[in-house]
Amino acid sequence: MLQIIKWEFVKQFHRLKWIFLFFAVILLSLALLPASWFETENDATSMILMFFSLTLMFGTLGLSLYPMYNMISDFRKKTYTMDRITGRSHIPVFFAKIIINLAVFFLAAGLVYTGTIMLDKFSTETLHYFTFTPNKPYLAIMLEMVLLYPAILLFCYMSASTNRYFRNHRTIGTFIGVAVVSIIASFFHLSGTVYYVVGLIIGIILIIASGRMADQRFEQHVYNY
Amino acid sequence: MDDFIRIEGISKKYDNKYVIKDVSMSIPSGRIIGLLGDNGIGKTTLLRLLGNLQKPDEGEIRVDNTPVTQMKIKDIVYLLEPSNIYDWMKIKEAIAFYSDFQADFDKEKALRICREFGLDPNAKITRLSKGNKEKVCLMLAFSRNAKLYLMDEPMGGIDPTLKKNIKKFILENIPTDATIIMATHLLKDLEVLFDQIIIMRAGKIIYVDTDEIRETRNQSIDEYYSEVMENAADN
Repeated sequence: MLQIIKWEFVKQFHRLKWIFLFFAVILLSLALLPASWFETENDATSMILMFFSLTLMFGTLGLSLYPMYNMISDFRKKTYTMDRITGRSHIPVFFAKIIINLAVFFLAAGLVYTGTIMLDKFSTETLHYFTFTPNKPYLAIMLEMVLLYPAILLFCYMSASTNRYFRNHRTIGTFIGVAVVSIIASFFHLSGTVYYVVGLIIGIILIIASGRMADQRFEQHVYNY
Repeated sequence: MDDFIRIEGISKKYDNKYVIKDVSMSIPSGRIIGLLGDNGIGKTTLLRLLGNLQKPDEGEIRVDNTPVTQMKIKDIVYLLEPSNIYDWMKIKEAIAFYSDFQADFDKEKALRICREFGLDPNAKITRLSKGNKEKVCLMLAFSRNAKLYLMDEPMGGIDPTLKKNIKKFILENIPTDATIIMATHLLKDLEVLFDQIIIMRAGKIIYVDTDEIRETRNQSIDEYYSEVMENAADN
């Protein structure tokens, strides 16, 4: 399991290194710009601050969606075979990806926190360049972003990929699956500890079920993966 | 000689269309076998079935008396295509990747083959030529000590010198009782390798000893293959 986690980290590092370097440069630029810079506000300074602000906003959005992409991206690439012939079961690989998702979540959270502080020094009473106001507890956001949403997407993708009616239209099948799950979820209004426990259990069950589907059925009808 | 691979009535279909239908044959151990046939005839599918990457819809494949579906994928060597390797990897990272997961992967052998092929282990995959990428794939496959090697078009971009010495290279780098099944279109270059050939054509499999073709029929493998395919077209 440790080897699987190690290689997932290496893989994600190579995938995300330029994105994080880009954000590091932006944050460093903001740190080096003196607050007094804003006093000489003109179109150029406003544009630059707006650019930084929007970049951080879309970067945060992108990184919050990344864990979902991370779960299914291997299946859409030719490098799938390189991983497959190691003979590893998909189940530990998926759990390793959840650990990566956690790391990406904390990095994204660090980006949001640092970006907010950095841009705050340029804010006025009426103008805030970048703020983040969560509408639910951080623990709930973490559970959803790291485990629950990625597990639901993965399960729907794997179900669509192994279903005779959808396997040639996996994207559509996945969206339909996600829509159905969303509708079902809207009937339940859980909160507090119950929400966390149920969310955790459902996430783990979906990961294991997806892993079994991937091990036994994913390649069976795909002749060009 | 005992049958190392026994294929019994296997069929495989995609989208209700048979790619392989009711194929049976036995293959002894310690042979190098050419798998020949037109594009799309099912060569890759047959290799994937033998490698337990896919399961037949009907029939059974046994390798060394074990149903292949009960074997571990990692016990069979399946040659990668260059596009299968992560291009951010350096050659030494690809070696480390497989030595972490495959117990029969010999790291020292991998580095020795790199030296023989003139590959720098610190070179990035993405910066290699097509031929060198194929050499990396061969290096990763032959650095293992397995009983069954499955290779799909292994030498398209390999330089002529290596092609000339390929038989010596293969025999030096696999266990003596290992079996290699190699799908290829490069018959002229590789026919010297094969102990037997399997020719796949629509609805039929021909499995023949190359000695019989060379000595009894007095033909090259390439000539024999052309004749078989022409006859198939006439019919």
